[in-house]
Amino acid sequence: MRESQLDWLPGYDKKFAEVTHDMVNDLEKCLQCGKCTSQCPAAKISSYNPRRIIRDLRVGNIEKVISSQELWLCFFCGSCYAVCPRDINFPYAVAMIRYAALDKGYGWSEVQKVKDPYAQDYYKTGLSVSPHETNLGVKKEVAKNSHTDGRMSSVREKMGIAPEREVSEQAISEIRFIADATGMTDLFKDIDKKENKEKQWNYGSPADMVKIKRAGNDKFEDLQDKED
Amino acid sequence: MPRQEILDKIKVSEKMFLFKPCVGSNKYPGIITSAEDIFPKLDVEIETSEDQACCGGFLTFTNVAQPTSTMPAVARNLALAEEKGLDTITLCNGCYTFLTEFGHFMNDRPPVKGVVNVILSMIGREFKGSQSVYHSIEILYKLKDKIRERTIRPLEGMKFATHYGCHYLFAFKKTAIDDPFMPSVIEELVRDMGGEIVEYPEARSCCGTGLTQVILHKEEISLPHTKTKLDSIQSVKPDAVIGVCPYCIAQLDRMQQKFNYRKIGKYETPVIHITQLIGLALGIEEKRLGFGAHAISFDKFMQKFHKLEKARGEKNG
Amino acid sequence: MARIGVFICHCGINISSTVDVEKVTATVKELPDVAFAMDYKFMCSSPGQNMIRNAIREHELNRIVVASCSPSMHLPTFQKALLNEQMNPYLISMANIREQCSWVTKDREAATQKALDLVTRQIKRVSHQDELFDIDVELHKTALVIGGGIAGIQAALDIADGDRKVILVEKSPSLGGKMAQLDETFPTLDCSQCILTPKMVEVAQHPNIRIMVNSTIGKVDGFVGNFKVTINRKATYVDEDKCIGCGVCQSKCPSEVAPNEFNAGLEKRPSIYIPFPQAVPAVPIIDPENCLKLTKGTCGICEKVCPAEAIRYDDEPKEIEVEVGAIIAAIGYREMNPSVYTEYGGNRYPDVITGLQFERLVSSTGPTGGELIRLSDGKVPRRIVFVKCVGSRDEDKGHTYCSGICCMYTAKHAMLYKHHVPDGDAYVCYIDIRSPGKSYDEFVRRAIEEDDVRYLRGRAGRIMKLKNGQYRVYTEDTLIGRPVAIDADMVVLASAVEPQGDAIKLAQILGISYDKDGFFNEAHPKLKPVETATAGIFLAGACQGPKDIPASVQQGSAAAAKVLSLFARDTLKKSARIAMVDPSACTGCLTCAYVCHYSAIEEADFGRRKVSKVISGKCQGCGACVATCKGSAITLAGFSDDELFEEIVL
Repeated sequence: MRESQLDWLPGYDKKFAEVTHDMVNDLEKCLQCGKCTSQCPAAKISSYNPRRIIRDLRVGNIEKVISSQELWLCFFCGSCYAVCPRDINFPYAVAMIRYAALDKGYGWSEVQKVKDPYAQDYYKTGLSVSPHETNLGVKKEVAKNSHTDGRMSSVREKMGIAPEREVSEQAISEIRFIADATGMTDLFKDIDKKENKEKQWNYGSPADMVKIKRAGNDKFEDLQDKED
Repeated sequence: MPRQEILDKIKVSEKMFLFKPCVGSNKYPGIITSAEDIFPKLDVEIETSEDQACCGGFLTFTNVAQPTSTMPAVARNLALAEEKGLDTITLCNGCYTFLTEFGHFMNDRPPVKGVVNVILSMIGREFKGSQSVYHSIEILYKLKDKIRERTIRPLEGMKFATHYGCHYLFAFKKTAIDDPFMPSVIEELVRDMGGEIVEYPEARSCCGTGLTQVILHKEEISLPHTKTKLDSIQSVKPDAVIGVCPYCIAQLDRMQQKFNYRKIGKYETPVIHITQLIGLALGIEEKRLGFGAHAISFDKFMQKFHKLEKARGEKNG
Repeated sequence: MARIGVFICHCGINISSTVDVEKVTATVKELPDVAFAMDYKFMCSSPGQNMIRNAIREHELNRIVVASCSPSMHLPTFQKALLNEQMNPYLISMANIREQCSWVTKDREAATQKALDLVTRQIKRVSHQDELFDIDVELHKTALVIGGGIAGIQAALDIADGDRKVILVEKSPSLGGKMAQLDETFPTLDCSQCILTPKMVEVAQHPNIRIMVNSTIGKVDGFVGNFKVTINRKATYVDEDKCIGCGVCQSKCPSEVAPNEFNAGLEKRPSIYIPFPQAVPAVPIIDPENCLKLTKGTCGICEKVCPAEAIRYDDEPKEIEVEVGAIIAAIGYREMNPSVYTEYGGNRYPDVITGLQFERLVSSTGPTGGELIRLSDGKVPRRIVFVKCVGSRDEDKGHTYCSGICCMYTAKHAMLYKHHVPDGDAYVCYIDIRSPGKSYDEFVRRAIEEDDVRYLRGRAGRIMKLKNGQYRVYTEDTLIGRPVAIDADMVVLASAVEPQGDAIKLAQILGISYDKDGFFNEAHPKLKPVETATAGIFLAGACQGPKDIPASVQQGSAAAAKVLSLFARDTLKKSARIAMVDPSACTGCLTCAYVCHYSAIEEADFGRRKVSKVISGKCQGCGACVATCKGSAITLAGFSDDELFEEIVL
């Protein structure tokens, strides 16, 4: 599909400076050499492509980037940064571009997935991983045999330590104070109500995704976490 | 930077602050208990704090909170060690990344630090940026000679594969003690304890957890990597995989169980944190290693270890 | 009484767009001693110069101030105008109101004020300037060429054919440089050695050329026309006059441990060796670090087998002093060691090699006799990947510049591969194809069209060694936007061109400047491409920047032409701005002689006292002695206290 320069915003870096908190460095230095994409784990199995995202940001096609599904596929492994000949810290850029996307109403569905199981834990206990977390998608009895059924306390007790790691009341109240003071609390309350624009596969399609081959059934939906 | 120069900058103190990772606490408690045991055996006194919470990076990189919210939370955690006048040891690549990156970010930008400190002052704390944050592997590598000397249960005959994790090597290509693509510090430590290293092609690949990938239920994105990695590991048949990051360990360990359950293959390589392995070699109490929390059982591993140990004992009379 | 003419230049709009030139002219007209002032669009043009000449005549001017660009740009131009009117050329002074004024600000008012300031200072100064007279110095019509690669060879031959003497100094045991290591050359695929060796032989037989191999430059004193150079010749332990070059010694040497430099480290060489069969001179050298006789006192086989009795275990390094009139630096480049590229294996994969190693691997004089095989298992590589820009255009691990030659030599390598293994697959990972030379792009197209080399636009990100002995190259085909993995049997890294390891040291010895990467700087990037900022020292070849063979040869010839035109004169004019000692004020402490870089101060008798004396032929007018002299006994012509005070005190 043809693109038009009329849709492109000039001066992406200035426009982005506000949302990127000064953390996106030097995208204009990009040579478009593709070293990042060549060994990117997300690019390997999907239409995610760090080089193309930088390209679009440079020409000003910001809408295409922030409305894309692909933006949410980065692993944050940093291998693009490790090989980049121009020293561009792209994982940081992705994190910040995601904030820009949220700002425009894209991607709240992704954040919603994280909020309940993890962010709320942090708010309640000071830790973002719950001691009751099970190995999702594994049958209860299998998990039970291997202590991955969310009963970490029994393992801890056998080790001769307290059944749960406790963060002090004092600390939790401090965390809540910071959350209140910086707007995190309000954000948590609003997350579920946020306008959620539909993201597009701007760089390919879900069909590009590599599936795990499984005897007689290679639909990845089957691997979604469900309580069996 | 040459490794020696970076090593020279790492300061091992008599007393250090141990930063407890969330995954370590709630999925693999043995990582923390063995760390608490091994450092004193290497003449480093350990202090922890109940006031310490999650590093805060997790919320940032899942974009569920703005950096403006997590920055003060990072600063609060860093302030705890500062109040005690101690440098921090982290056990997790994630904690290391967020504490150092955000710490440097605030130190480099006095106005940001100023705003953060206004918030912290309301809870009676202050972030000065005076103390350093180290990864446990850096400190352990500095203590290499002591580890070699004090190994009482050598790992002779045991074969290990290594996994460094992206957030130590890739994210810190300029400041980590090792090269991102050809690291050797775990290998050197293992060889010092008598163990053997097996190399596998996918050694430098990501474990697949990709910070948020699994959480966002994008198994189709995350699991192919874990599978490729595990297949490559299986092909060289190590007794265990050594990691330095609880998050990677959780992925490599628990996904084996998931693949087995879903009949995507048969995987049975236990995954161990470097502090647990050193704990084993230094002879800390076996129950404190916390192998019970691992989805892939250490039974076979320990049987082999005990058998070899016994054989050595008999040979030496 | 001084009658000063002031000429203010607009320099097109370079000056007049920020400086109110008319206002400056009007203001200086009113200053004392100014007999005439004018401004003009281009003072340096021939009408502009005529205006100066006319004004000198009409207004009987005896001092001139030109306010324009820098003196290094146009002082000689305006001095010529003075000479044409029979005026002494040292009665002019220039105010730089362009580089140091109009170009550095947009503030018109401030720029005008500063221009006025600068001009006024020169007006005050110029009244105190005296007539000075240039000095004639003799010159040595022998040239020194440093580096025996193709650029140095070409320069030496051209100078020698112009009937001047040349001393050709080479660090390694043979002439030939990088070109001798190459198999075939682009864009014609003719054999590199076949076109190089005749030139090497010509150099060896030329009556005007003295070859000094195994030698480096230790010290350079003096100035254009009169350089005194110390050449350090290392101990070679072989008497070159007696040696007949039979090669028996190297075939019998039992100590094959050091990497063969000529074969880019692909194999080992003996400890006494002739670097390659066509070496000039064909005299072996002993590597003292690995020779068993020299390290342990054992062995001694080469001495026993040498039919010419040419082995000298007691040989020692020598220092040779020569006097030359001009120097050409042509020390070439070195291939970057890709060990920092750990994502490509960091030199640990035996079948991941560099471009130069590939040249040796396909060369008939190489370690495999020209058979293209994997060094790990001796198998013919069925699939090969060429990775370009390894160390080039990479500010993180390598160099920011483009190495220029890799695009062409990679196309050539891919062709050579296909000529060796016609049914094999060749892939090239590139970012851009840079082929702007005569028949160059056609050459690349030939690789793509005739030899079916597959070009993928994308830099390789990682090379993973597989268990089956292959190497998986991860790259991206950026034109389709998909990551690509290629399982190859061999990978060739087009490693960057970088300055020789001792380039900076040589630059410091020669007193020439170098850039941030270590390449030598030319005097002007466009107009003086072979000169350096130091008179009498010229550049040729890749020591000045990455270059291919044709460009190196061109620059070698260009540098030779510069030397020949210098040597066409019998004497050199030297600036009159030199130091002078007032013997009656001199205490004879000779501190000045100590600080002088040019050894231009000697001791002389003054009555019964010893005093300093400046050797006018050697003095470069730097002023170090003037600043050092405690008794203010030394003055620099053209920079007297009067002149300077008038200039700095408004």
